[in-house]
Amino acid sequence: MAVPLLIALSYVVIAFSVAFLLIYAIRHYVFGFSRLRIEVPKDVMELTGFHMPRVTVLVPMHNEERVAADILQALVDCDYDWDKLEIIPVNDRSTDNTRSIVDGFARKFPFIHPYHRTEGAGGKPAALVEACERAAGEILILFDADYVPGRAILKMLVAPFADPETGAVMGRVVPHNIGDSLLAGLLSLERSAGYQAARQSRYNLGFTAQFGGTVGGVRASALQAVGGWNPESLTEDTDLTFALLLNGWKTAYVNRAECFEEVPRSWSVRKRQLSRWVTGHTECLHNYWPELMRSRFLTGWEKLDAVLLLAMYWTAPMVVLGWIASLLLFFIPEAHQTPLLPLALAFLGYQLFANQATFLEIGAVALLDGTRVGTLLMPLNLLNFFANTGAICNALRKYYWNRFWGSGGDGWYKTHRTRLSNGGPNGHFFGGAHAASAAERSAWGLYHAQAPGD
Amino acid sequence: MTFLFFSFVFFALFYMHFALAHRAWLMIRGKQSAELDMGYVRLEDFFGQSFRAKLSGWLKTAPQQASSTAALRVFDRGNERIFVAHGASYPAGRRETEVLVIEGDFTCGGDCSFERELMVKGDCAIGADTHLQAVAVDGSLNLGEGAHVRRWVDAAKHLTLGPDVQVESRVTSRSSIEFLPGAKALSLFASEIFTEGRHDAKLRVEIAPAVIVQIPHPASMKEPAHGYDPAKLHAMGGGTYLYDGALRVSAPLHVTAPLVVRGELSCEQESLFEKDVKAQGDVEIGAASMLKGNLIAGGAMKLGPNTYFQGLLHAGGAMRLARGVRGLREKLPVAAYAAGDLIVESNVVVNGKLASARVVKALSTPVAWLE
Amino acid sequence: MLKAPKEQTLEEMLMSVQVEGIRPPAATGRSSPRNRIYPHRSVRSVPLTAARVIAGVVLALLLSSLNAYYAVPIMELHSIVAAKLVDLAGLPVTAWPPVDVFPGLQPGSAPMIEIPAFSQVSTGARIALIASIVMLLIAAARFSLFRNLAYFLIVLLALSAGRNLVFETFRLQSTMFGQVWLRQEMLVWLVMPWVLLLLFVLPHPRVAGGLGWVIFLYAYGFFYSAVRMVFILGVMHYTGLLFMPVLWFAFGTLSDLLYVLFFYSIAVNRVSGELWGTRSAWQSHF
Repeated sequence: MAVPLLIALSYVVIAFSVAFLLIYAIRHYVFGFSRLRIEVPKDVMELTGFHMPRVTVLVPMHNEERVAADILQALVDCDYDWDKLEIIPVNDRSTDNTRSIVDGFARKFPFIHPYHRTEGAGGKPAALVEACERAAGEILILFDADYVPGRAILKMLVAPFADPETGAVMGRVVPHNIGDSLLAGLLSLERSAGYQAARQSRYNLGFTAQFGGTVGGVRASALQAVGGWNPESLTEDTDLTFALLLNGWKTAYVNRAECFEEVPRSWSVRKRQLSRWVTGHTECLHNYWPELMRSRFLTGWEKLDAVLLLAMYWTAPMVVLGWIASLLLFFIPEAHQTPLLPLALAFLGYQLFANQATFLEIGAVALLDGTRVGTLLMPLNLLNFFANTGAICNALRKYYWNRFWGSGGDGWYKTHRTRLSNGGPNGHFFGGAHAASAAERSAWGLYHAQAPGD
Repeated sequence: MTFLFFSFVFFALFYMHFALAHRAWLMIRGKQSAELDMGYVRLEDFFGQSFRAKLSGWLKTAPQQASSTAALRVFDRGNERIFVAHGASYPAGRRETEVLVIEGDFTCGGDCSFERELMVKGDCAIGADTHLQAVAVDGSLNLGEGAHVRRWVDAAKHLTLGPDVQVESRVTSRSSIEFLPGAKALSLFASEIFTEGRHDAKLRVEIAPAVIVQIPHPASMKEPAHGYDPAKLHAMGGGTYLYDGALRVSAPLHVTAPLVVRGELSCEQESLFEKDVKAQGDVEIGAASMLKGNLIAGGAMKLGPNTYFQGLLHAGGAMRLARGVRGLREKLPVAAYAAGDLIVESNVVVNGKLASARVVKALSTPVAWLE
Repeated sequence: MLKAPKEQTLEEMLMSVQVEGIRPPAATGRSSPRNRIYPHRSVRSVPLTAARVIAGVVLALLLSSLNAYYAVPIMELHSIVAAKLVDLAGLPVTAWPPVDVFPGLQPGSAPMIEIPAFSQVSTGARIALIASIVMLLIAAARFSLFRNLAYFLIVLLALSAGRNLVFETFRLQSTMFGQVWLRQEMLVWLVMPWVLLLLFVLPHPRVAGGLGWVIFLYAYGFFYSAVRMVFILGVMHYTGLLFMPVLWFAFGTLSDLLYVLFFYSIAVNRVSGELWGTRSAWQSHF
């Protein structure tokens, strides 16, 4: 009696798993093709430089002596009008030389207003909560300390706020350390697909782009309206995206606002990062899905997209459940005689279809970006797929264990970076010194005496 | 033993599927991405400035041909040459296939053809129906009727786009652009852009009715009136409001807070938008209205005659700026962008930029037509 | 040579330059100079042309229909190719009896070969099992990215060994393996043209190029399926069912995914470099 039940259960699990993953496969195909064929990407680049509200740039820092000077110099060199710019380095209880570096910049540039945090709860969200209270800008732009913003990025990120519906904005992050490890190279492919394909498509299709917490910004009044940063959340950026969405605000995406980032080079760092994302994301799913379903501000498609976005990490256990069910059928001799075995096999065949969908996005982006060598790494991305699947399942297991049994979850921690101070405006990324001229930073900021060649 | 050999071949075949990935990894190992131009700054007149900078470099490095004279210097640049002269006047019908640099003034008759860039350091007048690649002028520039430019046009002083001139890319001037009827471009940027008839008599606009619809509405307003339903207005927080549905107001509209309309938006003449407004559908603004904030439309946008805007206009579809529209504000230039065609009627003056993903076109709309 | 007499006006000099035709060789066919410009990647697009969509859909429909309509001859051909490979691999296959693959369909044929029960498996095979587990453990320790996959494979091996220990007498007939393999691959081949349509035809700028990839991959997939089947059959013949789940997992549909991915990466690499990667492909007004 137990064996036929087990067989029947396996088929049900497989059918459910196939259906669940099929939805995500279709979603990936839609985004991939949508991005490929967008003739006029929805963007506000033509308005860049014409909308210049007062901006506060927040740079959370915790023991960032190696990179603090780089990012502050890069921000100072941006072509945004200094009269409308405020930079707040949020020195969150650093024990190294960060404080003196930040203070040095503040003495030199009056629009840099450091906030030295010496007590209170740890973590970026908690630091942001306090720093935002001191920010004077209408728009708050965020950069992690190890990012190196280009000179035009502030104007680009601010432009979408000309639209009163825009509550937050997100730029494109581009990994620079692609050769640090195979993992970094593979993550570079993943990032490209996630930004150039998925985010741009979602934005064009009228869905909200996801705010990533760095290389992005938020409207101060909107942030205040939704109660500010959620210091309890491990992914305060995702939390904010959906809090805004529930109140009718959209997150815009600026594909041209590109910024280098460092992706994890070791699996242990990546695993912790992934674990934090999974936990934070899933927490948001549980917190927001009932309200999302009831929201008067969202259409049916927007609701579906939002829930699918929040539930995306569930695909990993669904894949594993499907495998387990297939294995059960394989190991039970009686199952071999059932006519439904092709269904189980269809699941395996389906994996081919579903998994290719994510690769289509990578391929589409390679065509658009002109990436050549990196594209050939795609077969090795299977390793990343298996590694991610395991890590996500483990993180979800921990999350639900904590949720149901009430034990403490993961705390917020900083993703470990390895970059040395060589990437600032005078280093590798810029290929030489750059100093913004007063004319560039001026209100017009549109002319340049000696334009660079193309 | 045979099977062992077969297995070896099989694994070799299996590895082949990873071989290129392996090779690619070895190629990028230890390298850093250099994809981004970190020093990039967006410049409206980038093409003109970039060309000037490149030209200056070419003239320094390219060898001068022995046959050059004082009046005409010829520089060799691989598959093209650069002619440098002090000043010139081309007759009608001339065809020029090389880069031409004129250090003084330049004029050409009608129906000429310039297959490569033209750089003029003085003033420049181009004859009707002339075909050009791109033009950079340090003085003023007049593009005659029906001239066609395949790429961009940049002038330091006043620039006239004559009737039916077509520029396939950007037009920029540090001074002003006169955009005559039938002229087309992808975008125009100048301290002042104006169409024909800017000094014509103003279009008469009927006095608006005394009724005004205000958003957010006063607390006393409970019932729908003039196309506005107070029950559809929701606060998004942060002082911003959302109107859930189309908003077609049959009276002047006074918007005092940032507003998002989930549908079309239309209002009567003499409306006043004090803050940013966005409508997800089409937008039609009545005559003689004042837009102090930005106006964003998901669909098409039409500004009624004599409307004055002080911010940005952005339309997901076509846009039409009716006769007498003015775009101006302090300190910053204004801008109007349409993903569809941007039609600009007569007597429109915009201090800043007009751009479209398709075409910006000037249209002749004499007052006589309208009244 | 430029022959511009001094007494000529500038205008005449310029004229003479042209009349004498000393333009570079490009005059005989150089491309139109600097057409427009190379747009930034953030605004590029690959338009889907009707030709590509129609050609791709027609081909996918054709291949799927042929696969369904000629299922029996296709299975037969697969068996013929597999039989050749069995000979090459030196496997003692005794017969190719008919097996039912799908209800209502004429049977295909599957190889018959001795597969030993656990109790009959050689010591060498058992040592190979342990060695595999050890190797996977070493690989897991050394390559962190491989760790999860390695652990999964170890679990499969352990389960397989455990199952064989518990059900010592359980034997899987090779014909049954062949039957299940054919079922799986037939399903893959039904889906494959549509996957290939999406991956190879639609984003490919040349219709013929995209269609060429589809036909090549269909043929390759067919051949590679036979190779994999014969390899698994051989391993089963020498080691029983010890490695069966691992082999099924690694060289089953996952391998189908792998080869599609491999060739997709090549196709994208070439297209990205050859056509979409060139400036002319991205000419833009901006």
